[in-house]
Amino acid sequence: MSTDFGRPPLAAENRDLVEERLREAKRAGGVPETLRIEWRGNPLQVEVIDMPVNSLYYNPGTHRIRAQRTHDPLLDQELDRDAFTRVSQDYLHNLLKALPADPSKEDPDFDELKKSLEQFGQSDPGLITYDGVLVNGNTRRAALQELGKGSIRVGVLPASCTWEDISQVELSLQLRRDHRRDYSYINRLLAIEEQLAAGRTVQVIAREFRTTVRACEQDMWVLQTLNDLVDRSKTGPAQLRLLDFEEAQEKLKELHRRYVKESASSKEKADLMKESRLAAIVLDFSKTDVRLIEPEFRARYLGQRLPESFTSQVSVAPAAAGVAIPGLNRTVRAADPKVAEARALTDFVLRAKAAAVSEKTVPAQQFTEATKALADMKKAVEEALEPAGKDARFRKRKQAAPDRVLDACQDIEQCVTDLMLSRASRSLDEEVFDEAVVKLRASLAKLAMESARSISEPGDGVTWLLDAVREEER
Amino acid sequence: MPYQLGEGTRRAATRWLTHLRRADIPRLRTMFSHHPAYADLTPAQYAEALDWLKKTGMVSPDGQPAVHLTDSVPGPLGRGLRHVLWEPASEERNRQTGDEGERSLIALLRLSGAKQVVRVSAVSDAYGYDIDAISREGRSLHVEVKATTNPTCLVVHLTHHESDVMRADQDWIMGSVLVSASGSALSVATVSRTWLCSVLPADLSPAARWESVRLTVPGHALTPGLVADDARLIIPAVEPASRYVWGMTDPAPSHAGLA
Repeated sequence: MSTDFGRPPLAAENRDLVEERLREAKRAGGVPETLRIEWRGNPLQVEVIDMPVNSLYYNPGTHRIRAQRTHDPLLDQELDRDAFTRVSQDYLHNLLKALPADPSKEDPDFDELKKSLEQFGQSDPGLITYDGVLVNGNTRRAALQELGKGSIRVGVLPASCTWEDISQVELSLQLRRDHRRDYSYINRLLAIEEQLAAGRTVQVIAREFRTTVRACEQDMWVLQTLNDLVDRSKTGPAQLRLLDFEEAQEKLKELHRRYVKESASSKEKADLMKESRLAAIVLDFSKTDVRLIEPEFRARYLGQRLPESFTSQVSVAPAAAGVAIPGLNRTVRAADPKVAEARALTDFVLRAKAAAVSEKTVPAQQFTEATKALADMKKAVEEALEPAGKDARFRKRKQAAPDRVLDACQDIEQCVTDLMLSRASRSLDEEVFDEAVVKLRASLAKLAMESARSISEPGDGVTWLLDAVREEER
Repeated sequence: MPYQLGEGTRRAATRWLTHLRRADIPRLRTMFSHHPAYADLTPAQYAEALDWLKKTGMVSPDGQPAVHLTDSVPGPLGRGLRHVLWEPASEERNRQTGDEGERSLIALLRLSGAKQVVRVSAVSDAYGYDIDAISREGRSLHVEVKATTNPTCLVVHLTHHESDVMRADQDWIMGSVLVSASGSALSVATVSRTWLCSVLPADLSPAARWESVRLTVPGHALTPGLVADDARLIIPAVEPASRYVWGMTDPAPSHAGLA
């Protein structure tokens, strides 16, 4: 639902100006300039007048910067408290000219807009309320103000306009596909959510946003997931913001498609896959990397590579056998422990990331720990992705285990060559080499055990392996 | 730049001070130059007024007013009768301003080393002044405090009783205090006793006696700081720039008697 921001302090003066200029436009005769808008479901022509740039107010509810508002929590609170103070209006001005994904930088598109206004002047009129609040043309006003222009051409909405109308009119104007700066991905999601909250059906919203019902549903799923991630990332004063996911649009959409497909066969597997992929998305892995993450990624590849910083901090309590329903003496199955583990990992990554991106607000020690934890985790996932990537190829040929042994053989042969070379130059660190061979022994023992379990009729090779290990144990 | 304000510029300054609490400078400048209700003054007058306010420190560099104007600003003395509007809220505000003015002057007196500072106005108004004190040099001081929030001109009300006390008591001085938005003293000046005596009305018949008089004090009748009759400075003018409020142009007297 749209928020009611009240009326700006100079609303009465702006009303006088607007009325005076509308009267003037009528008296002037000739064909007045009008603007066609969608007003409460019907088309309406409104008059266009000139207004002084400085007398207008930015619309605090504009969908263009909904997600970016959280860039500075203190100023965001001030906006909620009073959207028309100088501080709040300056904050809106800076957000309007900023890059959606990183409000601390200026958007090159804004510079383009300034250049075009400087060169060709204002082509389309903006739109204001009687109180002088800009419904459409907020960014243009910011540009005109920076250029030091005196006036801006604007249409005037009917005097009975409410904040709900402002929100509707803005969306109907802005979401028409044209040469305007596009809404950023997250702001589009928030706008759709607002429409749903206002009680419109998905079909109507899909039509308004020039998209399909399925895409709308996907957007809602993504937003829900992101809100969940933002909640889970809270650690002390630091918390991730929606706009931190502005760049992950394609990965999130792909995740949704894959999740739906996986859910059809197993909800648990789908959740495992979702949690692992979300962790990778937060760690900024590429789309092709994220694709390699399947439901068993955690168990098969990542599990044994997890960094110390994670395993020492996070220990997932074994899930209870069931959750008791009070008063019924019944239990239902608790959440799967594997999913709980995967969630714990994602939470860890989220919290580390939240602390790592808010260097100014968290204590220095927490910041350095978080940065290190993030780097460790990234390395672990990278290492796990490599075999997972190979597996993705291997699975097609159903040759994963034999190929691995062959890979190991190649490595051992390479090792023989290296040994010869190091003998020539006497550069071998014998102790380290010895440790590595001890590790090989342990690995071979594990390999023998697993082979004995999975192969009922061992051939020559496996028999040799089993014998060798038995010999070792004696 | 001239520190004496013309009437138009003075009114422009009071408008700036009134509206700066609601909006910022660029927005107000636009409103003053476009809105018909403010078109009685020229953009040049508004610009000059803002310049004066910034120079005297009444408006901070980032556009915040240093005073919260609460005095009923006199309108232009034109044709017909001027309405005097009385309302409990503005009466209460004026009482609060007076109270803050007295408190801040007492604090300044104590800082200057004055002894036995007593706020006699809290006891009774029969004294005809507000503060009784002994200056650092041992001079007796009877200070009548006039507090205001308007830096553009000083308007004071004097009762017949206060004027009687003034004529009879050599230690009586009138100190005016400009009260800031936070309730502290921004500027202190002394109203010339000679000027007061020259402008006070006389009763034309025993049957009619004036009770209270409203005086607009010109800049030349004011001396920055609190100055005793022997031209000894007791309190300096507080803020250097604020020595030029109320149309004052004279430099402060020498800091004789001040450490």
